[in-house]
Amino acid sequence: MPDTYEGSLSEAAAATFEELAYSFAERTAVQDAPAADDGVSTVSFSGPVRGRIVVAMGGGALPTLAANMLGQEDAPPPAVQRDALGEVANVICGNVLPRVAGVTAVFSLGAPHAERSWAAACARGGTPAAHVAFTLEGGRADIALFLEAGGEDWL
Amino acid sequence: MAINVLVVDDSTVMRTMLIRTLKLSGLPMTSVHQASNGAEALTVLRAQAIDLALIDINMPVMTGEELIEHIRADASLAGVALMVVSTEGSVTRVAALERKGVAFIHKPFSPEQIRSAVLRLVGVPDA
Repeated sequence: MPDTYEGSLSEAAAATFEELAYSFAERTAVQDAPAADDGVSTVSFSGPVRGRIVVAMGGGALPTLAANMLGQEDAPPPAVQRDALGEVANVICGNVLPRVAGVTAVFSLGAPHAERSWAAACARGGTPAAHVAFTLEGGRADIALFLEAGGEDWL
Repeated sequence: MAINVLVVDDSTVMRTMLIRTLKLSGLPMTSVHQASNGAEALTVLRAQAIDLALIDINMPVMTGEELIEHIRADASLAGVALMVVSTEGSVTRVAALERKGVAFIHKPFSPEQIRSAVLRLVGVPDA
C-alpha cells in the first residue's frame, strides 16, 4: 500500500483509466489551473472521514475515453461523455478510499456531480490532500482528493 | 442453458459497458434487459423471467441494497441470482452482501472476471 495520499490516488486513478477505459495513463506534472475544457466531475464521500474526489479532463481526452469505454470508434454525445466522466470519478473514489482508510472502513458515495470548472470544484475545499495529473490519449486528466477538516489526522 | 439477464445501473455508460462485457465474455444469454434504478428493476423482474440481475449499489429512487431487500422479500423472485457490481471497496460491506447470497464484482472489471463470477453464481456449464 502506498504510504502517501498522492501514491494512493495515483494508483487508483491509473488503474481506473487502464481497466475501465483501456487508456494508458502516464503521470505528468500538476498545474495550479489545469485544462478542464472537456469536463469536471466530483464525487463526495462520507464515512469515518468526509471529503470528495474531483476529476477534470481537458485537451480532448474525454471524447476518446468515453468512446473507449463504450467500445466505439466515434465520440459519443456530450451528455454521454459527462456520464462517462462521472463513472470515472465514481470508480476512482471507490478505489482510493480503501487504499487510504483501510479495507474495513465503510463509506457512502454520492452521485457524480458535474462542475463548471476545476476552480469551482476546488473552491470550497481548501488545499487538496493530494493532486495528481496524467497524460491520456488526446489530452490530460487531473484528479484531486479533498478531505474535510481533521480528515488527514484521522487517516 | 442460456440465461436472461437484467443490468441495473443509473449510468447509461456503465450499463452499456456491462452488456458489452457480458457479450464479450461469451456467456450464453437469451435476452438482456436494463433498468436505471431499483424501482425500474422490480418492474422488469416481475414482468420477465430473469435468471440473473447485475446490480449497482448507489442509485437514485431505490438503491441496490434496497432492491436486494425487496427481491429477498418476494417469494416469486427467489430464483433470481444476484450479483452486485460496484466500486464498493469495504470488505465489511462485501461480506454483508455475501451473507445474503449475493455475489460481488468490483469496478473496474474484466470480461474474464464477469464470466467466471456469473458461471459460479448461476451454474451455467462453461463451454
